Amino acid sequence: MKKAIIPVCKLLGLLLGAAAIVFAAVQAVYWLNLDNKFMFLLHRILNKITDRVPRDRRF
Amino acid sequence: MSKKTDRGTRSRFYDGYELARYRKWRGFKDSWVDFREWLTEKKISGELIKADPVRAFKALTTYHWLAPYLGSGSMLDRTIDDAHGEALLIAHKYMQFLLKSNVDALVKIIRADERFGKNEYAKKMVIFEQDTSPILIGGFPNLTNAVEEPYFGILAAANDQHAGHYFTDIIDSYGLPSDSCRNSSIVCGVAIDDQLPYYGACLITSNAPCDSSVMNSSVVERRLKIPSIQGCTPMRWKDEDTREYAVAHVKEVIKFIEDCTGETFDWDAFFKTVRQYNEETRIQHELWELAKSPYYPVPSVPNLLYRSFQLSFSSGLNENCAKIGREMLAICEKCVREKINVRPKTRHRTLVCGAPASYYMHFSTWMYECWGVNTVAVLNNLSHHEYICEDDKEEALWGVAQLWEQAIMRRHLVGGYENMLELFEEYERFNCDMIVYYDNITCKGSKAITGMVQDIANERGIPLVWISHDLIDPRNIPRSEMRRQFNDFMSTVMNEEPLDASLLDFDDSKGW
Ligand code: SF4
Repeated sequence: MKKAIIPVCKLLGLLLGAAAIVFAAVQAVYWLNLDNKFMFLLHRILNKITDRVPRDRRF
Repeated sequence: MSKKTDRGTRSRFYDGYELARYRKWRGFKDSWVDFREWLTEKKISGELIKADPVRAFKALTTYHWLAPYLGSGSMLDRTIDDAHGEALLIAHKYMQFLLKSNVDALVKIIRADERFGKNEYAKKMVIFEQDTSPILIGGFPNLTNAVEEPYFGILAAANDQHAGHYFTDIIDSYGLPSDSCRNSSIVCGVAIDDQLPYYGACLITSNAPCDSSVMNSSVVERRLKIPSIQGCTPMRWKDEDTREYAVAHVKEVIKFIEDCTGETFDWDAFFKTVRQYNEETRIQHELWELAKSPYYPVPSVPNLLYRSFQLSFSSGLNENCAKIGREMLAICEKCVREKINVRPKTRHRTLVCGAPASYYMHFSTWMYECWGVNTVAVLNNLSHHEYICEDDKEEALWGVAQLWEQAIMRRHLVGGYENMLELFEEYERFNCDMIVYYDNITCKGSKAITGMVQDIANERGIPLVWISHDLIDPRNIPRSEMRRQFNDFMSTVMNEEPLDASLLDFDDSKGW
């Protein structure tokens, strides 16, 4: 039983480690290149939406 | 966006935009610090959504002034572009503190906004106009303060240079004077366009003698429909005769808050806030001492923003303010003690006066990178620097009155010539060798004195450059024009060559 658990744990560890590395790499690429561009696009979209909200200018 | 061109340091950016195609490579160690701290900054920004996702979504799709905060990451990059080593770490820590404080403030406003449904917080909040320190709220532990104007104007434009157009155009089309300070125009525009959040038990306005209090208070009051009182303190605080009146008025404001909220002023809680305020002030005095040294590492923009925040927003109410101040102090002391030079491009040490352009907050960063002009002190930030009495009630209220009287801008922009001419003492104190004077073309108080300042500088042989700008609206004086004014001064008056010629002239007029 014990013998069977060890390789499973190792495999899980490896998978987790690989996932962490991929996650960190994706984050690094996002940080390096995409973050500000994505936010810029989102900002433009939000401006388009808020431009169309009806406003009451009488008070 | 157009494709990349070869433009030296600027080749990293899209033509016409202050938007980088990729991040600056700072070497392994500094890039790691940059990446690590960016992760923290993303986490902090995420709190705006996490706190109440539904309300946050509604706010983002309702308020035009909120979207520019998506640019905070880019703004942060721009303002710390000139930093490395200890300076980079300090800059990140300062900016994270500001980011966190701003996110917390916005979360508070969004959570209390009755536009998105009735709630228990709305009537627990007391709104303070930006020139009026919220320190008194320390005496009301069940209440919380909100300072909202900077979020509509100054801070929004710092994130996106075009953030204010929408609102200035509204006040122009409404028939209000178009030559008023943009600081007030924007807030008026927000009020007219019904974009003020609905919340608050009452409003404390300021009597700063400029457009900002005179014009926007009345419009904001009409829209908000909550009781308001003017934090009316004398301008001539050096005159002892004004003291009695000033203290009486602070008492009136306390009574007003009590009447509006049903709460009672708690002196013990108030003195606790005062002690915290004094601790923030003590740290600031020590930082100013270190700023006299050539090894002072704090880059100019975080320097400017942190102190403004401490005076106008925290005033002892934000525990993190002193905490971050102590951390920064330790790093600064180390740099000065061990003579670590993290500002190696410095050719000139400058004192900066006047209101900086919000749409070009990183002008100081550019001055350093292009010309080696290092901003070591900001006159506006040297406003109120006294300690407030920690045990006597009358004395403490006098301290509060002084804090209001000497608020940022009030002292050094519209506070009378005696205060404004303090710039020459501060120039000596911080061992500067030039002065950069931001000339906000709509700030009438400071404009009135320009001739006198120039005459004194000429007499004393102090190099002084005026940089005209329009505070929150780059359409009249764009960033490139501000750079041109400085370039002309450096090449003709100072007779110098730039450190990086690719930064002399470029187009960043379009985005962020
Ligand atoms: S820049 Fe001048 S006019 Fe504008 S708010 Fe400040 S002191 Fe008032």
